[in-house]
Amino acid sequence: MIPVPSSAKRAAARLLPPLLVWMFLGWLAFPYLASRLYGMLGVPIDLVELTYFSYAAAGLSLAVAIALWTYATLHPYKGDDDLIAVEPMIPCMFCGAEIPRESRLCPACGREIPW
Amino acid sequence: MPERIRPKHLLLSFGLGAFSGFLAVVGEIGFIGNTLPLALADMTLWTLLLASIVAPLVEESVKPVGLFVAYQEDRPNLTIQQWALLGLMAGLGFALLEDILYVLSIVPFGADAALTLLGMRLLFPVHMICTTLTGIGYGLWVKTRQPMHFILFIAIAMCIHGLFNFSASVVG
Repeated sequence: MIPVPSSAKRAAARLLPPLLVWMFLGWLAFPYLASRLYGMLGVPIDLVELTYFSYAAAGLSLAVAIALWTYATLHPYKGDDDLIAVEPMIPCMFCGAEIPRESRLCPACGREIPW
Repeated sequence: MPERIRPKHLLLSFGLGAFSGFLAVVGEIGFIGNTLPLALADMTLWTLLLASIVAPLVEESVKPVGLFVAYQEDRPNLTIQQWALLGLMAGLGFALLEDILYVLSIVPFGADAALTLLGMRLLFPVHMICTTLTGIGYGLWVKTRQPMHFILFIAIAMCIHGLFNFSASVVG
């Protein structure tokens, strides 16, 4: 299991709820638009099954949005201090010398750091 | 000290996210060409395979190309949240281009059908959700130098995308 830093969880919890609420509203409107489109194209669909599924998916989207919003409220995003403190310097992938994380060139061996 | 997101990085993410839509379509057309016998034998299985496995793998792999280019160009010192926002922009660009391609494909059925399809496509921000997660993974990779974080988040994004496409294929 890869440990996920708390700053990543907090960033996700802050950004994703509005998109999930958008998804919730989308699933609510989906049966109407789908029945309209398939009616125009002459394709038969099971509207009852489609509606049940859409409302279940809408409920799931809303539940995840509320859970993430609650997490974001309880654990507000405060930057990435937990990450920066871990690794301000990294080893050069070619010679192993310690270099600043943002470096494009290794001052020791002079090679360009591709990542 | 983290810096602000530059407009150039937002444009790069958005523009290359949209361009990657073309790349994904080309990749998926290649898959279609190579699997026609399967399509003719079992159309339902082939549609599920394309929508639930091939499309998420191809699309989630190419969408964050703008983030890679932004990092290669300027090495911006951004927070995880800012990388996630760049990911969101890449997903928005990709989704808009894909929506346009879908709508153009249905124009022969009439403007009303095309507009209804556009409305249906705009209901679901699944590309933005998935690429936001990929952006978080990329930000973690940049900051910690551990590619496993990126692999984990892009795998989660692929699973969400595949699950969404699977459900859309089954019911819609």
